[in-house]
Amino acid sequence: MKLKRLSMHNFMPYKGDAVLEFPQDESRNTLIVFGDNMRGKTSLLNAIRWTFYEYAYGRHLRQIPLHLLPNREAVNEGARVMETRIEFEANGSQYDLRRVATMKNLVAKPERPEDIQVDTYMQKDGAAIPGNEIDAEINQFAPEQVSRFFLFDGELLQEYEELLIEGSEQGKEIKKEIEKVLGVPALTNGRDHIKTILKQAQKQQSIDAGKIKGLEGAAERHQQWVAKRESFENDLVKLQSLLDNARNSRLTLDDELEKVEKIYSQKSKLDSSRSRGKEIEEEIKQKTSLRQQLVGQTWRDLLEPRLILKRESLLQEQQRFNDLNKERNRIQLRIEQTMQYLANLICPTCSQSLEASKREAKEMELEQLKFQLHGLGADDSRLTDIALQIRALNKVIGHGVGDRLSDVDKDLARFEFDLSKIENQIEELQEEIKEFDTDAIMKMRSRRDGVLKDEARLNADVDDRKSKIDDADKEIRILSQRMQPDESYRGARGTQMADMCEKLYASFSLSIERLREALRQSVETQASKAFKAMSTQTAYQGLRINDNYGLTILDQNGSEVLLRSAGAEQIVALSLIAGLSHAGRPAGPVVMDTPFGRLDTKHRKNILGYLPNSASQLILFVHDGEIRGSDDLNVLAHRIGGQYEIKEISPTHSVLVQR
Amino acid sequence: MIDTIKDMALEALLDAAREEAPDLPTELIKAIYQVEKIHQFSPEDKAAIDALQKLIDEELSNFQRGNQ
Repeated sequence: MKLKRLSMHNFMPYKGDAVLEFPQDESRNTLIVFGDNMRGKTSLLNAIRWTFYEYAYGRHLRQIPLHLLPNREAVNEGARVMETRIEFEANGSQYDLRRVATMKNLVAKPERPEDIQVDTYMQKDGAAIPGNEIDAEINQFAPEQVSRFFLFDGELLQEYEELLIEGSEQGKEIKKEIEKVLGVPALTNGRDHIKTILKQAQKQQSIDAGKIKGLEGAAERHQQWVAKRESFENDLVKLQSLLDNARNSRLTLDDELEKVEKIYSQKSKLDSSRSRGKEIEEEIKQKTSLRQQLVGQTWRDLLEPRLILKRESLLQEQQRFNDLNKERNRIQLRIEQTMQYLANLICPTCSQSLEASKREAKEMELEQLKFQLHGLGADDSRLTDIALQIRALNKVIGHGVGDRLSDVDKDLARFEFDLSKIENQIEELQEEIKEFDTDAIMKMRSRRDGVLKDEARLNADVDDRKSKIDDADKEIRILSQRMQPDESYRGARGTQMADMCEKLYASFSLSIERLREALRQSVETQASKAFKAMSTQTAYQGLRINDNYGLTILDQNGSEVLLRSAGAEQIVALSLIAGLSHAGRPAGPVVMDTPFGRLDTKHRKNILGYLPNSASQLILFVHDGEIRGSDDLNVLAHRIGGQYEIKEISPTHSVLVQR
Repeated sequence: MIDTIKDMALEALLDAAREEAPDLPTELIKAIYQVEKIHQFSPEDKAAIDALQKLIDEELSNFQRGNQ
């Protein structure tokens, strides 16, 4: 298949007409469309999706409602039609596929999907194909079920990680998708369809056997088991439907909870801001009270210079008293020594008797000392008074009320600022979550937990019915074998049909396992080849595949690399895609939206060098950050068959410009 | 997008049938597979089952005619 042209009219941001011509030269099979985020790269992918399958995806692969697809600006200006068209070549024929969305009469502005009517037209080699055959025609070369492998959303890359998680629901779904692209449904459906025919044949077998003499008893038991199995199967259908509903409800709730997770985090921020706000208010209260106390003491700072002088003078006076006391003590000591000297009349140094003249001199000295001591006087009450005054002054002086007041004022200003910041934050957070009922979110969580329990119970019930169906199958087979010796039984048409179906069923069952094994090997080989071409780490041996088609990197010793970077994940995912396209079927066009987001320069170059060889046409929708400058483009230069740029005219109007 | 399908699936089915249903003709297996291949992405089963039923009926009739 080869894409020729995509034409759009009023589709999403493409107001009016926009055309993308795809490269036709096989040696220059790559088309690059550059566009900043929010300009309309994904809308181009959606235009292709919508033309082929009549749906478009938004973020997280949620379907965009039909009434949101027509260009808003055009609708406001009175446009009533949106159209997309793809011209392509497939299986040697020329196709022209158009999807036209028209606003219904009396609808001024579409507000719900029902306001728009969609018509699809397809021409094959110039001849119109009836509407009811269009989907089947598309299925021949671009089945919707496998479209994720050629209409490729960069956002999907991380999904392939799920394949490595044992028992992951999402992994199982992706595995199914992978098996679709590999052609496994032809065998799995075949097995199931044969089983349906086999069951009909077994019913006939019971009826036929009931008519044969001698087999009535066995035929009756056979019939009972066939009826039992049918009843178990009906149960299983009901349980499976309940399980699907429960799973869908749970997934919807999970999605909703994921969306409101931010609200939760904002709510807890709000709670913590509120509590911090209260703390700050309390601190402001305490500081304000302290400030009032300090203001009441500011007189101290006014009197302090005088009081300091007074204290200085008192301290000096105290010092003088202390010096005087020391002098008195010294004289008192000398008086005592002199008196002792005179009383003993012996020299305290040489222990000799004193002469009369020396004794008189000592007596004179004693008199003088007594006179001196008397002259010094003693006012102990004054000294006590000075000490009391100094103590009182110390209590008042040196508190620095002014400094403390200034500190408190600074603290208060800071607290006021913090409080106002917190109040703004609280206001913003309240605004952000005002439309969300946090109690409802709690209820949603508890509902999800309930559904999860239901799902587990239903899973167990489904397993139980499956096991009962297996038991019934065995019983039916045993009874049939018991009746086999009877020639009439063997010759009955029901028996012959059942035998044939049993053999076909066994063949299909065995072939499915063998095909899966062969495909796994083939995908592993092809993906490893792609990985080696794209990875910059030459020491890696390749990739190993698991039962779910999940791929792990093997290091130089053949051991699995357990931790891998986001970039490595992307390369492994791209390798899987390349492996699938080579293993399943010959390469067709591949359209990739923003596929290189997490890659470094070297890997980007390797991948850009590799990808054009893995598809018949490679269409890349990228932003400047993904393919940078001439360096990256040089790798691709000889394969580029066209380049476009998305230019913004207004937030709701983009145009495609050829580069 | 798909141009032609590499028939690893048919090969696997024919191999398995050689072991599980050696007396069934290869043409029948191939015809059944073709029906399933055409209908593999069809949203409903009836058309495929009817086509298979027809093939099996025809084969059975041929077999019974041969026996007679």
